[in-house]
Amino acid sequence: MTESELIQRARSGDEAAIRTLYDRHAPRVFAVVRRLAGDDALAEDWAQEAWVQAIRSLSSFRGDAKFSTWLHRIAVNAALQGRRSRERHTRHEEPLPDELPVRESGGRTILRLRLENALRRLPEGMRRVLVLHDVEGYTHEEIAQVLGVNVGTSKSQLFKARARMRELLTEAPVAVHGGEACRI
Amino acid sequence: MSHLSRETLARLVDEPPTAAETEHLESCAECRRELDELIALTAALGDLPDLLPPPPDAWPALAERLRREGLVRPVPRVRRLPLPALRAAAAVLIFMAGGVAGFVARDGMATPDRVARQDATAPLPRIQPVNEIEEAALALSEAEERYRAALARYTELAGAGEGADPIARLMTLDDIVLATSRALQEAPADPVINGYHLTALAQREATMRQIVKASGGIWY
Repeated sequence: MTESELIQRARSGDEAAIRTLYDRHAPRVFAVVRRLAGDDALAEDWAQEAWVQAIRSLSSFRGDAKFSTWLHRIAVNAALQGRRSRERHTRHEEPLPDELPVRESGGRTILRLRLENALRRLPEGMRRVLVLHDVEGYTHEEIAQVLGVNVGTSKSQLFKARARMRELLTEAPVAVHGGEACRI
Repeated sequence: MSHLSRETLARLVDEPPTAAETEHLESCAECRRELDELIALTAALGDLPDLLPPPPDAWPALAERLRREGLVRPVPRVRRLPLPALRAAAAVLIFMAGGVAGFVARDGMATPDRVARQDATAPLPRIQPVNEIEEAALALSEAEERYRAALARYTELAGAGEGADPIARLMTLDDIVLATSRALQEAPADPVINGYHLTALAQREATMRQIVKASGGIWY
């Protein structure tokens, strides 16, 4: 079944069609939401929120953009809305992350784990700009729009975030693989 | 001259350096190395995987919420069908395609020469592949319904056939035996199809005896 057929059926509330769309796109939605959240439980809540919003808004999807692009925007917005809501209601310190996980399974895996871990430890404002710009490929203009800030603020946060990432990665223990230190 | 700050170097990942920054970078290996590290970091962030599987319980929770909010149509709960059940469903469909053809042929016949027998070499009816478990369940449900209808029709035919033309009846039974044989290749342990098959064989045998008797004992 094509994606447009699935979308058509999902609009009418066909659970099987919605499930198929979910299976196809959930990993992408969860990836972006997870990085913006920096926390698994929160990411699950926001991903669910994104899907509910998407299903509710399916009638407004005209097919001008790819469904995946449309859904990605909804996921980002859901995460940012969730962030603002959480900031209003529960201002508390984030728990410190666990010890840096290191697997003896190759440099790329170690590098990815180090990056993901450092991302989690970034302050929220820096993390969302860094994730949107360097991971998701948003422009500063787009970031300014979705975050409701000006372009200069987006740039400033990005440069601070990269600098902080370097510090976090330098602080982290160096993973040794095959007798050689793995550094970025 | 002091080193360039990390934030400045982070900016130089995207933007061109000023004249003073260029001059510094040309003379400072440490800042050049740090800039290279930041460029590599940015590239690595862009290479992070786009896909991250959600927790396995995420879908049930989402589905429950979608139902609660009325965003999905209620669907009948379907049990998961093991492979043998799917095979049996396929067998039933094959059986019914053959069996129904037999009944139709028998129904429209007054004399044996008008019997349009199903060609034994004809390809088996194609079973549409089912991707979704719900579709499989639906297919099985439809097949079961047709199965029950055919069973009732079979009983009616078998009863009415007592006084019908024995040759036409024999041909109908041949079709049923052929269809059940094919079905049993797919689901050899299916008790219902086995029952059909054995009943049809027994009735075919009885009909043949009837024909032999009517022909004065000469069968060949």
